[in-house]
Amino acid sequence: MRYFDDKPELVAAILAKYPPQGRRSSLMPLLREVQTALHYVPAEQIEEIAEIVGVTATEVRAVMSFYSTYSTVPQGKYHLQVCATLSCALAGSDELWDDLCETLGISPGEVTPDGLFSVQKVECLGSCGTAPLVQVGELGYHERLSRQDLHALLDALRRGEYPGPHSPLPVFVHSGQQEDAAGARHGAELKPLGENL
Amino acid sequence: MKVFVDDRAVEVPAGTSAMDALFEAGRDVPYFCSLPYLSPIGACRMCLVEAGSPRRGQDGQWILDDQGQPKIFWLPKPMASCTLAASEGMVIRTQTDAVRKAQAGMVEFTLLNHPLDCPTCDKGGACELQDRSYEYGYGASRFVFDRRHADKHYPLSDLVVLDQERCIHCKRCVRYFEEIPGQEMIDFIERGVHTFIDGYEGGLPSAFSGNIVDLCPVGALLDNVARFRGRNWEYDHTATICTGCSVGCSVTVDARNGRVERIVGRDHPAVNERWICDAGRFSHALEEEGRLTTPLLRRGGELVPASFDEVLAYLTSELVDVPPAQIGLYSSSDITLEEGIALEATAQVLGSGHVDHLPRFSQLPALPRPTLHQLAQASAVVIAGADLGAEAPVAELRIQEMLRGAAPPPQFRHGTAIADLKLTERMERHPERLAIFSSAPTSLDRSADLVVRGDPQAALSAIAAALEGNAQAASPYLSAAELLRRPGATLVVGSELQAAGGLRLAEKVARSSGAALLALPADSNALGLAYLRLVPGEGGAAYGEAILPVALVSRCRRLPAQWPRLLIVHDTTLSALAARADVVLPAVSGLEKQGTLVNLEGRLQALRPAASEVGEATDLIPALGLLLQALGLRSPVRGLISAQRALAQRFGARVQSLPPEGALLDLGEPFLAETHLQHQPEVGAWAAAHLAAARARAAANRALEVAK
Amino acid sequence: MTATAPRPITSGLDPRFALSLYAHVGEQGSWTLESYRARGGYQAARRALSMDPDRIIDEVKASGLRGRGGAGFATGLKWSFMPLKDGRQHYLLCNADESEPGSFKDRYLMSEDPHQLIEGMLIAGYAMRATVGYIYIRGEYILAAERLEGAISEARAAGILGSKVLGSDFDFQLQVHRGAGAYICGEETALMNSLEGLRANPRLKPPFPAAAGLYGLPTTINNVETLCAVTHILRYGASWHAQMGSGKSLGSKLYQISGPVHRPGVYELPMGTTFAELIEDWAGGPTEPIKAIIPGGSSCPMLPYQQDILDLPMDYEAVAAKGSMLGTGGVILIPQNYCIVNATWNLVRFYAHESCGKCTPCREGIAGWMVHVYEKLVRGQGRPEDVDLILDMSDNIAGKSFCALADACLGPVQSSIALFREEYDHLASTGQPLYPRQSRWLGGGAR
Repeated sequence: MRYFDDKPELVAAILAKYPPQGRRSSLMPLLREVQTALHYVPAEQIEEIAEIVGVTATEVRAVMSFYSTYSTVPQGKYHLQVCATLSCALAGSDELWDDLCETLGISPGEVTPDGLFSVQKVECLGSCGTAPLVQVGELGYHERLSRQDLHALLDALRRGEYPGPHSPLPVFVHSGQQEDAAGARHGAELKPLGENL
Repeated sequence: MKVFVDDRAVEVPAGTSAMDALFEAGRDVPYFCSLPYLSPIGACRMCLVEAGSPRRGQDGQWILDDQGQPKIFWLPKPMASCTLAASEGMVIRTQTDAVRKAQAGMVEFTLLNHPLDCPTCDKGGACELQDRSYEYGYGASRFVFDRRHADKHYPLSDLVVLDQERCIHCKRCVRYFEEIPGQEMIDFIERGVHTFIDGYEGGLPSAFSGNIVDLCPVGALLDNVARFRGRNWEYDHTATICTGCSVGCSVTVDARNGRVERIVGRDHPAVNERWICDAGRFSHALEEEGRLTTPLLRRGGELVPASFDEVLAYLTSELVDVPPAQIGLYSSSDITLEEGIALEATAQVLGSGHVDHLPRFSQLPALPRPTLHQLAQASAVVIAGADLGAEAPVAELRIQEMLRGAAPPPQFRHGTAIADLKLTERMERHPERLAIFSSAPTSLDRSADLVVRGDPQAALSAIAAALEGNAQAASPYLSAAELLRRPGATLVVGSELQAAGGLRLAEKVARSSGAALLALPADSNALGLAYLRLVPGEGGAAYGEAILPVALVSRCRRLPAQWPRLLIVHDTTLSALAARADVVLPAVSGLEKQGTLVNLEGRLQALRPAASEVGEATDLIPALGLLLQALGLRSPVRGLISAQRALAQRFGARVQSLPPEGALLDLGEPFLAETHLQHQPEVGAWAAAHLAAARARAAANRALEVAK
Repeated sequence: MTATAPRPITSGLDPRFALSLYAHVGEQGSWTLESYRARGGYQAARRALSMDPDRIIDEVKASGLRGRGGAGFATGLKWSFMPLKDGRQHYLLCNADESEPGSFKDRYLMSEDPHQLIEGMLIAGYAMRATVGYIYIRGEYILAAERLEGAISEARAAGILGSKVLGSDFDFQLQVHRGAGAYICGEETALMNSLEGLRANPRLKPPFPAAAGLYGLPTTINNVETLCAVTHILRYGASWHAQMGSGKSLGSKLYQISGPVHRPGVYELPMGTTFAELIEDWAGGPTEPIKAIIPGGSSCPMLPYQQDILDLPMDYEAVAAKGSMLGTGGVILIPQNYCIVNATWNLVRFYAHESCGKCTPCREGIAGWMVHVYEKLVRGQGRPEDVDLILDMSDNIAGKSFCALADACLGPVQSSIALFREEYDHLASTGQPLYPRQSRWLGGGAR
């Protein structure tokens, strides 16, 4: 089953982002398209992408396998990624991970029997101020995730209702001023060029 | 520029890497990822040295230290010498405690996940990792964990087997495929410590896949044909030349207990650099099947083994009423110059004009022959009527070099530069410099911008017209003409064009454009043999052209159109032709003789016989001698020494003492004659036959196992 | 009589300090063109487009701006490496791969106020004669990528991107290229390889990107924050920028703080703000006793949590003088009762997982070996010699790898052993950590 045959505008749009000698740059966006739509990259699509880009299948695999995001085995509809790096670990991400795997009864590389969930331990997701968190596939982050929140999320996903990302901003700025820990706001007004000295 | 290495000073050209500078100075460092002819990448980190350079002040003078010497500004950390450009006054230290510790530590890391396979690994004894570990390592490892596990008997193809655990990630094989033949067949998969080598092209569909077994520093990539045949120290190594095609690549033949087990590429910077094609490397196995070791004589309709005496007696009685001038002498075109001059002398003694060698073409270019080095540095190449993959595979690699615009690496006292900084990974190729005109697809089509299907002679005519100003704008022939007009361009013509008598047209195109002309000879010594009188004389018959009373045919497989009444075949195996002969004389193969070949450059190169048990097989000279003896005649060329003397007289060349790189000599005027025998180049066709034979062998082994 | 130079601004509490980078983060619709224009957006670009490109480079040099991606290389100087009149295509790349543990500042610049990045890239592109820009954003930043793409579409429609932008003669195309989960892509040469569709191994230098970068053409790579700062420098002036911070660390900085502290997050403060101010005045102080502080992202050696360190200005020189680095300014606090060996193992696992595998010391030494020795120690199966073994392995790795990733791993390894040797020794000889594992997960949740 070919993926891109009926999507010529999509392919053209991707290729157009790069100059002619940079055709190979479209490898990553093409892989991501397939990964997001099919939840993995089947061998047939590897061949297809190789054809589109003009490289060997070996090269597509070599590039694909370098990254944590692309998978050669099917993932669940909701691929749950838990950040395990230090700031999240300090917020209990290892306990989150154990709870998640136990609750779903799966290990990395597996999919729950209903095809809904797969799990992956990942490295720093850039959410250190709102740790710990889970990333749901291509949908979004779920930050400051307590045990309660995790289970509520799983329940919602089981019902097929993705609740939308939860990404509170760990930034304390209001109207151009920054609020300190005591609640006081600081921040001068910026004046035009030359008047700020 | 002057560079200081430990206690010595050495002069090296600008642009030299620190690694080559220190080797030139007679020092050494370990390395795994560097390799002559490949880009240096600084991955293995074995070649670390301490280095520093003087600096110039504002006044342009060296900044001096307290002793009035140029102050050396040391680089803050150890540097990989392969990717460090040496500079004027640089000081390189290879013997300090810090360098030694770095080397030992790096050996420990390199061995970390490397399995302890030495007792069963084919690379043992010729393994760079063994050698470097012994020379630079701690001697023991502190790693106590389980090693990484991966596929250990993984055939990448029928010919190359991969042990993924042994790989030390030097990336030579990956870079080789991208840089040399330009085919990305294998690469690293995954990242970090999980990285392994794999390919997804269904085997290794390249005619040059075998070179990776030579360049792998460990036993990860191995020759699957030669697998488990012997330990490296058991082999007798013979440096000789491959006789598969007219490139004449340097090879080393490894034999054990009198049997050729393996062929390995050998360094020859001007001809094949260090590469050979898969046909040259792997076809020896095929050629060993059913080797004849004694003469055969037809008795009662069957060919049965006989002694030379019995053959002589038979021939003496059979030839008693045959006029010697009616005897035909035909040979393959891969016989040596020595065999050739013996053949020429025999024909003269017989007074026979029925002489020929095949395959060959009717003409030779009357223009100087470019060397492979020149081909590799051509500004543009136009190929007409040639499929290099079938006719001269390694010449294709020299054209890939041309497409990358990579000048061959410089030579040092230690040989070819190990880390030539001008070579980088994924250099830009210039397919606009290559144009191909042929009637069938060729192996180089994928690398050329301009590929035109059609009659190559018609194409050359159109190019000739374009050179005279008669061409449509934007026609491919005009483009080709413009390529050929570039200073340093080369026109390559092969069998399709030459067999059709198109060589004079090619010469005209070359002359009028100023391009060099490389006409691919039909076989490995076809060029050399053209300078001996080995074509039909007055009233002489070419091969199969007439029904002769007797013909001696050496190593041709082709069935003649007309059969001699008495056929003597001299060959390595019982070919279809030999099976119809009256007498079969056993022949040695190209790997088993001493002699001289002339490659497509006109370079004389020496063949040396491998330590192979050949039974009673001989080269052509004794076979001719037997024939003459049966007739009661004697030739002035009766053996190797008299042949060498005759060649010295003819060409002024002492062929027994050619320099290692061979010799480009003017061989005088050629002896040419029309030939109507169509030549089908078949270097590439060996693979199918080999695989069929391998499968048959495997099936036979399985049957044996079952029977046990 | 010359006027005395005004006192530098080195505290976020200084009433003269004004927010610029994060001034509008958190405002409704702050990522739209409409909102951006309403607050004077693209004025700086208009000003820049009317200037000689070389004068822009001079202004950036005068501002003292240094790369905010961790290396701290002088930005104006880096820009000046680009060839001026070679006639070839130039590229400007934005390194938005932000994957250093402890760093999360670029994320909100892109998701909440992306137009300042677009404007900064337009200015930088113009200065360096680069008509094409790519933003290499880590694949996991889904919302940020979406908002960036949205902002770019708006900008294209408004003639801010494309040909003859903002009525000038300058063409500037901007594309977003999403990564796929590899920290090494934050290394500028690996980023270029990744963008080219190759395996993201780092490249040899020389050649440097300004000589041969993306597709072999002159390229400059800058961090998100750096490029956003350029926008404000062109809008408010180099001297405005240089008045913040002091010495060779000028301008404002987005500091991040994570770990057990009351208000983890990102704070925009002048360069030279002290650790103490960040931790106490802004983040509300630790929620439990702290023993170590990672000053600028996991690659920076740990520092002891003690007064002389807390009083340090968070700038490049002061932190370097204490044997560490300011890096991205991503502060991580390590609690007293968290086993330091476990914390270090966590980071070693990170580097092991992210190692590209090109060079032997990183692939084998760190990913193949170091991570296992740490695991053995933490699981109580270590031996006393293991700590010295780690130090010797580190010595065999330090300075010997192809890129800085291996050395980055040695930052926490060597510093944690130097500072907390007794924890290591205790664990290695008894099999028990000095500070046993405790539950740290938000139970009922603080949402």
